[in-house]
Amino acid sequence: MVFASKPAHNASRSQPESPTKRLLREHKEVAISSWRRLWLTPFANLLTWLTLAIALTLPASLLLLLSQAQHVGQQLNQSNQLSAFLAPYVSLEQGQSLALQLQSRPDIAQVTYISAAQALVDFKASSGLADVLDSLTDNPLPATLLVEPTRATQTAQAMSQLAQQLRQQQQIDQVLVDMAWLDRLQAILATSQSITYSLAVLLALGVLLVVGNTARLQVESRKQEILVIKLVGGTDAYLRRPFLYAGFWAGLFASLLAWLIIQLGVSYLHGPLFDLAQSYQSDWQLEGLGWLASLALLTTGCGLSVLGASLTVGRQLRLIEPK
Amino acid sequence: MIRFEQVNKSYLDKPALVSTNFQLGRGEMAFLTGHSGAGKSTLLKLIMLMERPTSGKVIIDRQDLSRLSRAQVPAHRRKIGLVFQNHQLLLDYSVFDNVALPLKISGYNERDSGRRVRAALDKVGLLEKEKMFPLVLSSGEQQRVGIARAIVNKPKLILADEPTGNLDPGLSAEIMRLFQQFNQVGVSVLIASHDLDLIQRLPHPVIQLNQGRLTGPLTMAGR
Repeated sequence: MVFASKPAHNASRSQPESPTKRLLREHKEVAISSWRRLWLTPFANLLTWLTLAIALTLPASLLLLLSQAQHVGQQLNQSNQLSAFLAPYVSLEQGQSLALQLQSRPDIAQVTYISAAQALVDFKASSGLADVLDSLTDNPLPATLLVEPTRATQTAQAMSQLAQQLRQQQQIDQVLVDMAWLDRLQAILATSQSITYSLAVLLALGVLLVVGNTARLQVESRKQEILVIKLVGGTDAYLRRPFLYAGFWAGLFASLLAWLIIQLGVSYLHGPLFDLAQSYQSDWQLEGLGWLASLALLTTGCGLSVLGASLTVGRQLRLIEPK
Repeated sequence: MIRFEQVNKSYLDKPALVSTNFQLGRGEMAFLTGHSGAGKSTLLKLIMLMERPTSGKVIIDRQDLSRLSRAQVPAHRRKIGLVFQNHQLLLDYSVFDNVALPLKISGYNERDSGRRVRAALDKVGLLEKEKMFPLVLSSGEQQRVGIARAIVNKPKLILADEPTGNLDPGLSAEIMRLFQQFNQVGVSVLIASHDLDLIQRLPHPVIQLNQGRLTGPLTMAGR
């Protein structure tokens, strides 16, 4: 008998589940069944995951490069020097005593005096213009003080302030703060940042669309099942769940693939970039994604993917009504 | 169990049901008949909330359906066992999984659900075919799987839309006997059918629809 419940059934019936426990069990079941469903069409899924992975890899790797380039920018900023060119009438002794005097300032770490003669020798050696320079009767180069500020003073603002003060010294003709290229570097980095962010937004939208479209096709291919489930009283939440889980799995695999692509790319670029940095006397090295960044990539991938699925599935399910 | 009060339903100004009043008491079984397009399907759809009436009231199990929101529709449907003419089985689900679907939706765990599915399959005589897929079954067997799915949730009301439409007379009588058995244990049953030969041999009231109107008194053959 189906309708008259047998006493034996009642006796052996397990304790009723709590709503939370039931929900957890249902979620577990859907997670497993949607996982199994993935492997029914592995090739099609792989293509979707790769598409999503590339959409995630681009902004993620750009952000990685950018954050490390900013780090380098800060380092370069710190190894800054000022060049103070002395007036032609300043003698060797006067120059050296000025160097000592400046050295005692609290905001200056070190001052190196380079005489005009020494400067000429250095320039001859490094420029390869020895013949031209030899033909000159006078030494055209001034004596120079290389001023290295203390660490605390090594900010753009403090540096320009220090340069201003040095310019007021009578014996100093000209002070060169080579900040312009640093400013340019900062500007380039800021621009790259804006471009990366816009690209990230666009590609995130791309992820939403790809997942949304995949979910739409999945819903369409299971239309009959959805109709029957609606007729026997399946709720919207029940119907939505397998598609959200499919989205979650897609996001997970896509971000894992993206992670792999980035780490491979980093190890591929590591050597050439290290050589490049060395040629600039920097020991900077390109690093891969850390724990936190990896976690952020995974969360973003899964989150976007589930969001993309939920945005389309809800609407799509509403369109399928039993007639 | 079912009460229609002055129910009208039109599709784009074309009336499908006109001022319909009828009642099916708790534990009663009745047939709904009429030529195709007479409004049988519309009436069943109103009960299943696949459609809403243009005017009038549909009351199922003391619940006025007009008061149910979209979100409450699934719970309402779970109270009714529905049997289709074309059985509406899912072809990539095994017999067992097809029957288990309403229980899965209601959140039964595997053990309780397995017990109930087997009881339902036993009832329709298909216990040994639970692992098979619908396409390898005969049409009579497919219909019986559909019936097992409709009763597995122990609904108080069973609706059937032309359940014998595709079956030969022998199988049809067998299917009707199944419905009668459910009715004997207190389930209300409403069967839409145009198989008049079969209906008239059975001792249940007949509700006749003609162009959206209930015509004549209900035949209460031998009750």
